[in-house]
Amino acid sequence: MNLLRTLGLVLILAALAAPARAATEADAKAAIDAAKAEEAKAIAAQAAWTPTEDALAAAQKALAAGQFDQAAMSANTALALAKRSVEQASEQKTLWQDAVIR
Amino acid sequence: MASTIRIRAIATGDTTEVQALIRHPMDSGFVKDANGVLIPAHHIQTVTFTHNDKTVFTALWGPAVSKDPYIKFSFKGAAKGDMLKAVWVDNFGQTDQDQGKIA
Amino acid sequence: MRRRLTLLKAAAACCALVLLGAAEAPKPSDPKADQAAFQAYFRAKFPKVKTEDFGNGPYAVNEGMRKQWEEIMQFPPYDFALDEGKTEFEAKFANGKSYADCFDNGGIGIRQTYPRFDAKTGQIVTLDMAINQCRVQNGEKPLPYQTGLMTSITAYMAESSRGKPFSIEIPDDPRALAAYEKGKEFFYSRKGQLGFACASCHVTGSGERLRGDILAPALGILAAFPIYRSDWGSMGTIDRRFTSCSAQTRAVPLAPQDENYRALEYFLSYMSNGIPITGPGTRP
Repeated sequence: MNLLRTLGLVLILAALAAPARAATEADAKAAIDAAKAEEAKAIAAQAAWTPTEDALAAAQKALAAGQFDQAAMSANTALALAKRSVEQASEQKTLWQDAVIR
Repeated sequence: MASTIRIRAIATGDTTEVQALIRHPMDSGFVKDANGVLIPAHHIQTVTFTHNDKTVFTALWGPAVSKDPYIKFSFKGAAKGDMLKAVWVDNFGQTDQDQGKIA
Repeated sequence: MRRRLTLLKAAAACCALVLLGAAEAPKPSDPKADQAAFQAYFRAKFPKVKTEDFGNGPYAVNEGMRKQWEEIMQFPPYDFALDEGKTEFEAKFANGKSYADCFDNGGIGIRQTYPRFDAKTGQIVTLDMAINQCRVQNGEKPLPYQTGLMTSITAYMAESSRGKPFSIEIPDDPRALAAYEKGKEFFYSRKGQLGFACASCHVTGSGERLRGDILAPALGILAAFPIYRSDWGSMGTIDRRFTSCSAQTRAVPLAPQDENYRALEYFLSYMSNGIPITGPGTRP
């Protein structure tokens, strides 16, 4: 009984998580712009990560090839990485003191 | 121009131990440069060491030997003060040689 | 009832102020105390390593690697760079002057005093920077950092200082202290997608394996530079290693001789005061 309920829940969640429609060129471009803006913050904080740059490059390449779904996915990955890198830099501003040899 | 070969030879009794360092790019021909263009194979093919005009060591090299190769070997029949000569030839036909005194 | 509430509010306010106060004002560093703690940590962690051996990195803390190193050192791979460095160092610039005119003692036996704080510009000056400043002042083009002729010249200057202990000065100048602090923060801050700080590998992980390598202790880690690194198949300077380390933690590397890298070099060199120069060196 419990198993059926869990299965049902998983299926409903999966359906909700699936994209409602394919990404358009505008969607892809917007996602890339959002990722670039976040990455600019990371670069300004001297905290940029190399995989972010790789994901952004992959997004641009997919956009140029007309693969808008792929471009949007790569751009979203870049955005998540860029956000985390900015967070890391701000957390480390105080956390680094914990590592100092005293 | 300075020689590309550095020789150090030490005689202990009848055995002479030789070490040599050779400056050479030893490009394998399989590596690409920053623009994705293959760097042509440019490597030493033979290294020959002679003592009193007799060959005491020959190396036949190919693309698997790395940049600035180092050799170490021993041979018998030489004495302190003798001269040891080394010559290398690469696949471009370039060559260099040097001599070292056995210490 | 009302009095108790007021008292409680006052107590809460006091607590908040105290907590805020603690977060707002980190104590300024005492470089001498930092250095004593740093050296004590590594001496305790590696009791068998002698002072002069800390400049030999992994070879000081691993017997197998040391044997291989001793074999290689019968014919140091940096020999060619030393020759090239000597020739370049002794040659004259177009205007008739030479490198010797720019440095104390003609540039011989001074490597262990770099990096230095320059009071005129408020900057940390590394040996590499000083070499380029010398070139530019004498009408020559600056050399690219990290590889090539820069590594040969620094190799020659390092060789002339072999055995001399690091003697870095932090003058009583707030800008010098700020640079020290910046270097210290950089050393201990986690960076890159892998979230490693320099300390992660070279303090916590020192003497341990990282894939096929043995991690060198941070104490004396710069003493062997510039190095012939087998991995590179060529010579490289301190900041070549810094940029490659950044990339290895999946952080976008900073520009060569970036302010942060120079501050890091300043901090690390000061921490290693007393450790003799072992450069130029060779590493896996």
